Amino acid sequence: MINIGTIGITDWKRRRSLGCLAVLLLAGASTAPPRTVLHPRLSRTWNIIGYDLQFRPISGDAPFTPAGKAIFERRLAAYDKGTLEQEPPNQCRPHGVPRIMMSPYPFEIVDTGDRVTIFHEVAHNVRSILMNQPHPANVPLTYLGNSVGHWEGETLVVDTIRLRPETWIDEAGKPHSDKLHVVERMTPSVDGKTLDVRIRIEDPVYYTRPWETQRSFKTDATLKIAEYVCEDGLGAAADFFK
Amino acid sequence: MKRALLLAGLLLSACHPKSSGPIDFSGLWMPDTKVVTPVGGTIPLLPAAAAVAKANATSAERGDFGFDNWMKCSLHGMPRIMLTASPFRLLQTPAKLYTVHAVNHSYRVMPIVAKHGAGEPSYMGDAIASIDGDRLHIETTKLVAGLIDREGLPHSDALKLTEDYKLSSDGQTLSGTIRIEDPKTFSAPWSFAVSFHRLAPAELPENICVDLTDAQKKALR
Amino acid sequence: MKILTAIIGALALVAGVAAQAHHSAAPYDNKKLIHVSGTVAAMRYTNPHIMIKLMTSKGMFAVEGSSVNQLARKGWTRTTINPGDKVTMDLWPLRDGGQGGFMISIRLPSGKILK
Repeated sequence: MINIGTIGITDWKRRRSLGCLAVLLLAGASTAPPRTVLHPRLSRTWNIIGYDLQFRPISGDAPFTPAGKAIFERRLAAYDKGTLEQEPPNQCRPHGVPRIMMSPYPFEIVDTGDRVTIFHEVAHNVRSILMNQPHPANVPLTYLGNSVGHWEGETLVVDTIRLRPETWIDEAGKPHSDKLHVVERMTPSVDGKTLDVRIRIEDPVYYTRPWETQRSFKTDATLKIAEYVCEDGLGAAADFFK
Repeated sequence: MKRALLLAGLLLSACHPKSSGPIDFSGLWMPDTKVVTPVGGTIPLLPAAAAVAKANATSAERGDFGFDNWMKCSLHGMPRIMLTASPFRLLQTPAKLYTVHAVNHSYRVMPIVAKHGAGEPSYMGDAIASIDGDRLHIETTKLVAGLIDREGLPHSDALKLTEDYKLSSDGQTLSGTIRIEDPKTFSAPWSFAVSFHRLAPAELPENICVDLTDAQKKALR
Repeated sequence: MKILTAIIGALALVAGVAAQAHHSAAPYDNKKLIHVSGTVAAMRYTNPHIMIKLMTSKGMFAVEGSSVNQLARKGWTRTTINPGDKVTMDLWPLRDGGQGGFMISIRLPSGKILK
């Protein structure tokens, strides 16, 4: 299927591309040209500004249910004692969402129209966001969940469900269940140098109501994701320091 | 007749040659090639490397994969990932090509530029791409030493890869050669043929190496 | 949305074999800074954290640092420090009081300070 859908172009350009398509079809071309990137300010490499172990609510305290509070306090206590509990990325499994977005390693966002792909440097993780479609039925639980997206002006809205409950909401250990529903709103600044990500967390098992948190990222011309093979480090510390 | 010619002319002029742009290689691809078959018949291994290759091949035959770091969840890297039974998605933008490989979610980032940048050696290396019609050309340097294939054919950190692929006219096959230049391992450059077939649209499954059994890892060597 | 189960087929996710945990910065007290001097006895310059055995007057200190990738962005290379170098470091100390820490900054033999 040749897709010439290009959101936001003028009607004249659409008619012209239809005309071109007709000519190309008549001429026997078998492929269409790749669509241009329509939201170039988002398709950049980003690095987190600052670092916080926690995703903190924009207002008030995290609205834990008693079960959520118990798990969080247990994990925080373990952290303070230096005997941290294990979360999936400690063994090179993906971090989960939104957890991976607080990781202090850059990521590259690539918009190819029908999908947006996020290449994370951290442990070579990849997020795939299918655009302009509903979540499919019968999707297995995965570490990074199932993400679909759409544009609201210059904001990419990413909706993620079906996340494996082994992952944590943040590094401090806020819990989530398989009912977690995350909505991220990613808006690049007008000058394209910063990215604001507003995150809505909804999980009736551990939180009495949805709550919002936030992160900001910056870019510059020299920023480039590098390879990071977490698996090569498994067991390394124990071996080296014995 | 005059009107038809005028209309054709208008349509043709509306399609400025620049607007047809480069061919789109995007999509889901599956490697077809499992065995490295050198063009010209022999792999020109230097003596020390030949001994390593033979030892690895013997171990592989016995089912002993201790020589293969993929069994410890290290990356297949290049060129081996292109010989592995894992689908990959190729993404194309005007500035870069990317591949996302299902097996253990590794990826390549290939700017469409003329010169390599700075950076540390890696399993996927430093790759730069160019497109000429239906032909794709990728040059990769700065690879960490590793294995070229599942038999354990070794390569050093001096390896330079040159991939040349052509898209078939029906767009369903990508085929070509991978050229190996590694003066620490081989006495001369050599190449082997590879091909990939296009898969129908689908999503890559999640595949996490540390969650795989040994049997599953062996199937993905 | 079809998932390519037919291709990777049998490779459904199963519970993994136990793997050695990788350190994060959690075992360290990020509210304290200690100052140590010594000679680099050994180094492992790889991800996820570079590791240095620092021989001090009190014996061996086990030092972890940031990842290779993060250090590269701050100007480090794999030869920035080498075994035999005499260095001083600011560390977040181990919470359990052991001889070790997380490297926050280092003074190289040249006198240059890197963070």
